[in-house]
Amino acid sequence: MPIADCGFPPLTVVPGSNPRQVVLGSRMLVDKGPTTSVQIGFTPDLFHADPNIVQAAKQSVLNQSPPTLVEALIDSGASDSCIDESLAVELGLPLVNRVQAAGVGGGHEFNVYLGYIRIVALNYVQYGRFMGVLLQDGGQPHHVLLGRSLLKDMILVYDGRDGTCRLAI
Amino acid sequence: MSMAQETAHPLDIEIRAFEAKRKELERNYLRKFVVFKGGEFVGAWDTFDAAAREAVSRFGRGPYLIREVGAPPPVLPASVLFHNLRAAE
Repeated sequence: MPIADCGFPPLTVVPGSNPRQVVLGSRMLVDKGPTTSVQIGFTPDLFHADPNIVQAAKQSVLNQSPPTLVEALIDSGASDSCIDESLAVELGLPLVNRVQAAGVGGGHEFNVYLGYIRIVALNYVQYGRFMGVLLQDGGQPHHVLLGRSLLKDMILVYDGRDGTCRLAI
Repeated sequence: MSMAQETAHPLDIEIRAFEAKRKELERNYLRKFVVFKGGEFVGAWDTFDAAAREAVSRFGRGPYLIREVGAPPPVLPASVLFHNLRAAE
């Protein structure tokens, strides 16, 4: 069973700290949240009518040597997975909708893109539509939110006591 | 407020066409997924996947509009709202 380690080691040295400071893994898990590396992209054959072509496209994505990995937050508070808006634009994901979502301070508009999210450690690909949200511009360290529509196929074990978190499929 | 409102949005033509036909779409295609390209209604499908398959096959990377007729507004993840709030402070 493939398992992705999404937590933190027991102790992490704060980069550049002098004298050296360490942070507990349990603290890192609170501050940053469960995190895993993903690849984002688009390939038209994932949306092909022939299931054999879709399967071959999935395999091709899984076999890619990842050109760019970004960090994704495992967000059980999100129903669907989301991609950072600026990353979606940078990657040229197909834009397929603009939606109005209610938020604090009034309505906000968000773009919707076609694409895939590959969880490298699990050899897993989710493809479909993803809302572009302001993660980097909002000060969040992640580029992707992995929501419950992805987690429905997985097992998530979160141990806040020691800072470990494991995602399995 | 969004970047989409500050400049012309790539889907403006398609969204205007959707809005112009909204009543008709709601009468005939409620909860179906419709595709618009360049202001033209392309068709309606039962699922998003089916609509996306057709749109990608015909128009590649687009842009094109795929929208569910009568869909409720999406719910934003709390983490997005939280960080927007913090950024506004």
